[in-house]
Amino acid sequence: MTLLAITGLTKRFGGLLVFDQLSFSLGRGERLGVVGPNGAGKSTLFNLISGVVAPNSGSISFDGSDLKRSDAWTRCHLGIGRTFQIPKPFGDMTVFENLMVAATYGRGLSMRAARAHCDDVIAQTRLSAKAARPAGSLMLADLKRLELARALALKPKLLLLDEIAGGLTTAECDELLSILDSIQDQAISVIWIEHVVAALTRYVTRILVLAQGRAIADGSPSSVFADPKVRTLYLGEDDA
Amino acid sequence: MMSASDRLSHVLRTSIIAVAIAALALVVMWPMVGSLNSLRYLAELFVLIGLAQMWNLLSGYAGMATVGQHLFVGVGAYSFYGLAVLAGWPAPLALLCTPVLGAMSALPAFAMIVRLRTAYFAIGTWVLAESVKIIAAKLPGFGHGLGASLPVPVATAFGSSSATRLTAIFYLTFITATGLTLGMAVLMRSRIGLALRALRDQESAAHVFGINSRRLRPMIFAGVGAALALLGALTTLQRLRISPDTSFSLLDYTVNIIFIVIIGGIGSTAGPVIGAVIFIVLRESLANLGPIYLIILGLVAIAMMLFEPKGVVGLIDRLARLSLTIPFRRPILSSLSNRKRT
Ligand SMILES: Nc1ncnc2c1ncn2[C@@H]1O[C@H](COP(=O)(O)OP(=O)(O)OP(=O)(O)O)[C@@H](O)[C@H]1O
Ligand SMILES: [Mg+2]
Repeated sequence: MTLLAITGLTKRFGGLLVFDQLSFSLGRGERLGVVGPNGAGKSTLFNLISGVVAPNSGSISFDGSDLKRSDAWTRCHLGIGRTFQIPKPFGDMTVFENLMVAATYGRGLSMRAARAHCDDVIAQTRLSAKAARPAGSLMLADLKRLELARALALKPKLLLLDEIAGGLTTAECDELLSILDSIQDQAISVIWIEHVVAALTRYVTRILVLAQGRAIADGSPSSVFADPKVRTLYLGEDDA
Repeated sequence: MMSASDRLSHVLRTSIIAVAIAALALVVMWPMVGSLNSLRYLAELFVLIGLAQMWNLLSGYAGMATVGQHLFVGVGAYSFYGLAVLAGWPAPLALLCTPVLGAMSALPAFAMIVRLRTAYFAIGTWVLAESVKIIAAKLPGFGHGLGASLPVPVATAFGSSSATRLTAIFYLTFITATGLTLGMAVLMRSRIGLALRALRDQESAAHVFGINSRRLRPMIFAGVGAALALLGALTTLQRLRISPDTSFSLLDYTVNIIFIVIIGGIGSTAGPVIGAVIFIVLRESLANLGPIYLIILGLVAIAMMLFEPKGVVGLIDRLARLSLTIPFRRPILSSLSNRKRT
């Protein structure tokens, strides 16, 4: 069953064509990895899905509704949660309060229910020691953890992860994967943008490769990385 | 087990509550013991506290710095006059209706300036206020540029002798200021407080996490308009007259209020209260210097912005490490420059 369907999506920034008629869809419970060179438009894809930027043409439908005219907050209420590649914490608020925003406004919980829920997410994402710190005082690795925790506090149907493993040590990366595996909800769909392919392939079941405004490959990790077009892109093999 | 610092802050908190209760009892009994003049000053103080709470809500929390809040104070004064004098409604009913008119005038005002950003938004509120003031001077029935006095039946509606009248105004302004101060404290601990702070810190992330600023901002703006209008009506009862210059006074209801909030501490609930007390004390002790007190006040505010952007509350926090404020506030200037719309 399809959760997200993207059809003919075109996005330009001035003269720069980031997406040219991009189409793909994502099933309920599916885990999709997105890779591609720097500047391929991966983060822009998340901005388009979450309503941070508007497309020039094309459509995005989510869980049966057309998102064309929806504001970012409406998309959040429909069940889309995301992280930002460059963390955007509510800097003057505590880590816990950052999660509370997602749980109350995003998820619609009462303050009371939200507190209990955020306690769980804080424990699940192993942020307990930092819960009372102002988010603005965290180091990058913790900020990325907070990005994940805040998105999880929404209990989203679709979770968009933008390079949350970048710059992590092997141990931190293992911990991150175990957090992702601990997400209880089996119906959650995930799209994960990541340059750290080793981490990605341990989690996702399908990979989409973006380059030059299009999806140049889409399929199981093994088939995608065997694809000559992808090998050219990644290894510089000249077989064209 | 409590740590030493927990115990200290527990003791401090308990003593603050005790002092607050004692102060409340004193205020309630004051009209029986205090002079009429002291009632006048205290009522003025309460109005200033209310005005400062509202400016702090918009500028310190909601990211909508204004320099035009005298608009809604004036609207409140003129609405009260219109309802109580021109329409002949009972004065208490007219008073209770002024917040409705304040909120109703705030919504179109907001619609006119919502597209403007930061400093332009602030200037937009000022331009609007000055325009409405000019319109007020042209309104028939309101005494044009000179204004009008409250006729005797309205002026005496809350008490026929000046002692009873001042006592009534004293309690009305006290209830309003306390209500607005406690209301602010509750609001900032509620989900709306979370939303306002999230919007102030990171607007686009706030949107992505479900906060509809297009609904929240006008709601807050209308609420502030309502409270300011009530304060304007109360001021009219104190002064017994309306006029474009006094009812829409930029100095009295906006400039002085900004000083109060900056000196007391922006982005905290206690700041406006402390700032208003300091303002009255400074003004009375410097009164014989004439307008120079304004310059001194300005210098104090500038010094405060430079050395302690969180005002006296920030100083107290620093000295006593006692949190009267939700942790970590951003000073006004950075909250202005960080405000973006998408
Ligand atoms: N808001 C914007 N305005 C103008 N140009 C933008 C904007 N956002 C992204 N771009 C441009 O669009 C292109 C795609 O950017 P995007 O951030 O989506 O790439 P990416 O695939 O996420 O890259 P990276 O791997 O470095 O994160 C880049 O050239 C970028 O400069
Ligand atoms: Mg990116």
